[in-house]
Amino acid sequence: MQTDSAEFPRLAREALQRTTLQGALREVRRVMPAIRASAFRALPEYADLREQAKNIRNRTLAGLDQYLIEFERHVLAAGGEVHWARTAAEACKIVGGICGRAGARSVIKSKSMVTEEIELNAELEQRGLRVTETDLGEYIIQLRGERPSHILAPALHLSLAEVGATFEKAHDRQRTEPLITAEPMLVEAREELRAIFQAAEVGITGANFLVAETGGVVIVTNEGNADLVASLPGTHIVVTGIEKVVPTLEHAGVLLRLLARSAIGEPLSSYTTLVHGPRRARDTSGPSQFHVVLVDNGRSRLLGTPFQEILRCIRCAACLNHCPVYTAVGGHSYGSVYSGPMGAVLTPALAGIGATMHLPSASTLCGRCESVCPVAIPLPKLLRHWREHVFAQRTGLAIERRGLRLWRALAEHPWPYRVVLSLAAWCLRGISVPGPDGGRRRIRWIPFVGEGWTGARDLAAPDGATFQQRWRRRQRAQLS
Amino acid sequence: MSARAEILAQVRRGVSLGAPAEIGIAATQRQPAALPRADLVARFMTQAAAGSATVARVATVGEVADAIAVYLETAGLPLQVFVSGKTEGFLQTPGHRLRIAEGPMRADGDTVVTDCLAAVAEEGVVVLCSGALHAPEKSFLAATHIVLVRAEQVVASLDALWPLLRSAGPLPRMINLIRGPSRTADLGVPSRVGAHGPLRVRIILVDGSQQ
Repeated sequence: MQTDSAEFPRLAREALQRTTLQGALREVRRVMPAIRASAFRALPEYADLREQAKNIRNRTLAGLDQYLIEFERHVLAAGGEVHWARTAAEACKIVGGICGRAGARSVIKSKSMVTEEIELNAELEQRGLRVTETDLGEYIIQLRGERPSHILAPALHLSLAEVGATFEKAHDRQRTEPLITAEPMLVEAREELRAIFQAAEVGITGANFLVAETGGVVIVTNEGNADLVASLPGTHIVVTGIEKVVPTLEHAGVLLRLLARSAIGEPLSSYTTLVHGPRRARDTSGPSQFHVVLVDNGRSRLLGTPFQEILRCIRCAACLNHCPVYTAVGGHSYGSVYSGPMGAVLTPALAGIGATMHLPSASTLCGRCESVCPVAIPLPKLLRHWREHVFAQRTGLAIERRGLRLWRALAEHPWPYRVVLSLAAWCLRGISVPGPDGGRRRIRWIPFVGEGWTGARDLAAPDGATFQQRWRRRQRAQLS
Repeated sequence: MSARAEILAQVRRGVSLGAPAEIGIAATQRQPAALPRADLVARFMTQAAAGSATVARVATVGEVADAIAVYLETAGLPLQVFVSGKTEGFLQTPGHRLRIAEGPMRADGDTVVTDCLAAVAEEGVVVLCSGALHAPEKSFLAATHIVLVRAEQVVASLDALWPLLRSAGPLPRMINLIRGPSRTADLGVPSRVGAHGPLRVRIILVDGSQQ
């Protein structure tokens, strides 16, 4: 998997200066946690469901081979085909081959993170196919040639004005006035895409879940675009990671009851669709060909390792919406289609930690992500695993390693520790100023290493004595 | 080795021995099956409205055609409708003012009337299945989707839906759980209606099962 994650420090710094992006992220912080919290307040059995969801995912992963085989059996029985792809390149080749055999010229897609991960669009376009994203957010960024910046809302980073400008440039229409408000933009996108929906020969969707018991593919949207993509063209291709399978409809139901509430604060999205194979003999319409492409691309390698837990992820994006880092720098800074806390764990797993080592470090380990995860993935623990990995491999930043060595030398020797920390506390108090209304003293400016902090906020000053000094004083006072 | 064999081998290598015991689905629903039907129906209507569908209630199938006509007139829409699914019952009402459209739907702007397999009270969704009588794309291409729900079709929760689907014979190609009109938040919050699917969903709940 290709990433720009090595550029995270620079991309993040630039992102902090971008006013439009910061405005969009402010809205995320203002709106998303509140609507999720409100949805779960109305669900008294939330804790139970969460435990069940975690167990369902764990159980499935523990028997993943059996469930994949069962799923495949039912798809084949329904008249569909199942393809297995070890790598991104293999998956692209398979999809390209199906499109070629279908004589396709035009392909429509609904949102699928896996297809972004394997860079499918580029492959299909190279084969001379016209590929159109139908999810509105994906359509917008496709027109702009950008990557998604959020796993559910790909165009989150754009303002309405930027979307309007994009449509004006891309859509060939006579205009009497510029596109400023959302309503005419929506109407315009709907009209433009209708024609493309009707003309495509192949429709490609992702999958939210795969039901082993029935061979069914569960696709969740609010726009209904996936349903048209899966119904109008003569060929329907589902591209999915192998970890999406669940044993039965009941298990899918538990996860569905958590997914939309975690993602958008609704009991269910507008459209929850189950697809089973190609059209039946009695159907009056529907694709005559149905293909499922099961993509591994590094997922099976995670099984049996501590990182297996990230495979529970149901892509609800709650962790992104609650993360102080994501909502400060946005998805593009991560340089990967998977951003936020889950992206910081999954991207190194799929793309290798060598090129992505900044991501697990870009976290305060505050733990909000784990507390909102509907399948209880211990994201801070997994981030720490990656950091340990980087440190053990000696592939991290030299300054970090030296800093840690220095700290270790101090911490292992009580006397230098006491001296250095007393001196540091005394210096910090010395450069502090009185707090407002005689409150705690604060430090407005620390040169060099401290500027990253004090440039944006004050640091509370230590009281002047270290804990050990105060402890000794207290002991002496008690004895006398 | 084929890709399939290689992936399965890698998966088997990775899974730990001794899979966890059977994890059943404990009933975490608030036992809504014990609710009287009237309460189930009321809950469905509330949840459907929360999902931005509008709901009207009629006593018999005979009143459906008029209910549809009134709705369309109030919304300033033409009285021409496409029908999809088992909806002939209401068409047999004498003197109804609707015009039943024939042939293919237009690219956009049409109204479609469908029935449903079931309606789920907990989430306020209607369940539609593809088949000989219903092509699912009709309910997505239409600008207005009118769904006929009989009161006895309302089930409490998703848990009650799955056995219903299994008992209905071989699964259809497409099962749609529809909660209100088509929406998007990609042009800002609050989400806007009419992304690709219908701009309006009107549910007509029929109390009696007899005409």
